[in-house]
Amino acid sequence: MSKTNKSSLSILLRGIIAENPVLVLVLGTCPTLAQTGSVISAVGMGIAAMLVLVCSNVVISLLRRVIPDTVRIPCYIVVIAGFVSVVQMLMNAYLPDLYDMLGVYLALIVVNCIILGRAEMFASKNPVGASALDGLGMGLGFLLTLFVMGTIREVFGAGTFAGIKIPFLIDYNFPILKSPPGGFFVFGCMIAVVNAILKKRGKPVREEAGCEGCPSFEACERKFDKSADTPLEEGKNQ
Amino acid sequence: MKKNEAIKSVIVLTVICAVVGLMLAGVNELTAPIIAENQSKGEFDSFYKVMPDAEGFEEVPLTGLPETVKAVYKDTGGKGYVVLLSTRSQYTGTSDMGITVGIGTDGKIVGITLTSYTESKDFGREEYPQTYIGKDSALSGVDLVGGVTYSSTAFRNAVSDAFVALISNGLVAEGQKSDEQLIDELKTVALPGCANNLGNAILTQIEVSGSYIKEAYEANNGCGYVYVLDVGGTPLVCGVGAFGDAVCYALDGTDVTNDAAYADAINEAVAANAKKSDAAADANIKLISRYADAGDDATITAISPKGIFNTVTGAFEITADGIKSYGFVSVVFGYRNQPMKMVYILDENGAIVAFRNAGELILDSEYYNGYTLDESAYKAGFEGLTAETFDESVTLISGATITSDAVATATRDVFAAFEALVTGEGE
Repeated sequence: MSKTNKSSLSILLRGIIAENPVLVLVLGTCPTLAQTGSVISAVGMGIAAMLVLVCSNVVISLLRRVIPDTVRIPCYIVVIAGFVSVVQMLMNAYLPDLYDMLGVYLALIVVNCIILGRAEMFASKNPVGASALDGLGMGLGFLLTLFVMGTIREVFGAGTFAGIKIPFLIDYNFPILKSPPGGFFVFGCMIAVVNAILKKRGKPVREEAGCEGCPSFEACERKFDKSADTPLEEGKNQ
Repeated sequence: MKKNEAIKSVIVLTVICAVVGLMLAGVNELTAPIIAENQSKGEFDSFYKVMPDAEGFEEVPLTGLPETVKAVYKDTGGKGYVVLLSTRSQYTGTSDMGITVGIGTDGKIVGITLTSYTESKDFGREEYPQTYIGKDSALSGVDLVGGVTYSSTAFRNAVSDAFVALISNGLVAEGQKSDEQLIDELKTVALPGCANNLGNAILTQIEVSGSYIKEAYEANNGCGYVYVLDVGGTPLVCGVGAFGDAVCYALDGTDVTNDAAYADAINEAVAANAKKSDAAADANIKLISRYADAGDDATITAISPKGIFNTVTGAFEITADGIKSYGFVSVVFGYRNQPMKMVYILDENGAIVAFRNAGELILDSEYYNGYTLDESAYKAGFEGLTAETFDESVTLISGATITSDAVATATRDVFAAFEALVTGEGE
């Protein structure tokens, strides 16, 4: 395998486990908790977010030398909102049931931290191919996380999988898993499992990912050096 | 910020917005018609369930619709009509039933669904409506559900109303009723006293042999018999009242009672249960003597008003101290079709002297909601009333509609029997 191919593969794969946007970077928590009550809505949300992520990463990467630094965030938002609207319209037209199921969370992909975060952290600094792979990897990580979480919550919370009744579990299940507290519980368990895997492999858990991954980090007034508990130098990223 | 940089920022942002806007316009052009179609389908979702091949729906403004018909829509493709119905089961009198029925332009039901039903007793909300598919306005072969008669009757009557709405407005043609249906309908025409508050005949089939009698039924309230006769291949429906009079109808509704061609058959029907009727009359004398309060030397004689086919099962002349009065027994159907026996004593002018009932006036389990009634005061309210002054408002019992209706029916029927006596049609 050539070095380029190896690098491309690592970009693609890191979004799935090592830099999983939900379980490691802890981004996109809102749709994760809201849309994992059932497998179908979880997969629908995952695919929609992945499509927007790939398309917006590609376009932002293409325009990275054109977009002035001062208006980059409005430009990213316009591009992302454009793709979200396209996905919304297509889904409303061809998958109306899924569109109704996702509700307002589909439109809220515009402000999904994963998408804006990858645009700011990766696509605006890397070539088109790598940006597309980063978008695809992060999208797959998001999709897989939602799928696993949706499966756990639906199977053990309602005794069904994608609406199909599962013998025994249909009569003996834990409805709390489908409710918001159950969502937090499963979410916490999954983060713990991923952290344990990363620790076992000797990879440091990205404690700093939460704040620095935020696209508003540069403009944020509350930038602290964790060790000194003092504000960081303006615009400096750790 | 330098001026050039600011201008560049504005231009870049404007161009990006324009390109994204164009992209959205293009996608919108592609998806807008499909989304509009989806939304239209969503709005008429239940309509497509009963008429899957329809192209679209638009409301047909009709007037003079039956109470149960809430709206009528037509398929813009011309395949038929969808009628929205709302009715109420008489079981508790409080549960609404929503029905959507699709009727093709050929006057046959193409789809039907029960959209809401809150009674605890299910009559097969999925299966029962399917028995209506393919039926025309005659609803031939559609049965009620045993044990859930009130709900299934309300359902069938509402579907009939859907046809009434379309037929009366000239939208579909009337269906042809089968002989069985015509016979069923004529049972309450021949013997009105056997009908409950919903107009259904409450009869029990009995074994009677005869040259002409094909089927025989006894009214559950003892007001008479219904016979289905076969006279040389011509079916007749005859009612024989509690006083032995008979009335017969051909299936087209023609009264053939006095037609000499059917005289033998009608006489056979009258004679079939004559002895049984006499025995019932004897039992009523005891009731009258108990409620008439006429003293030991009063004489009570059974009399027979002519042409009575209603709920009156006994009529008596009471003579005490040279004063003549009349006693009547009416048996009406109360809650869950249970017979309720009412006794009326009328003076010689036809005014009610006393109104009593044998057994419970309001059956304990009639309604879920409670009612309050001073029975003595309620019954006293009937005293002095004549056929002319009788107002049904005196029969009303709040929370007990079926009993109220039953008392009103009994009172009207007693006045009719008295009228038959005074006009000389008694013996």
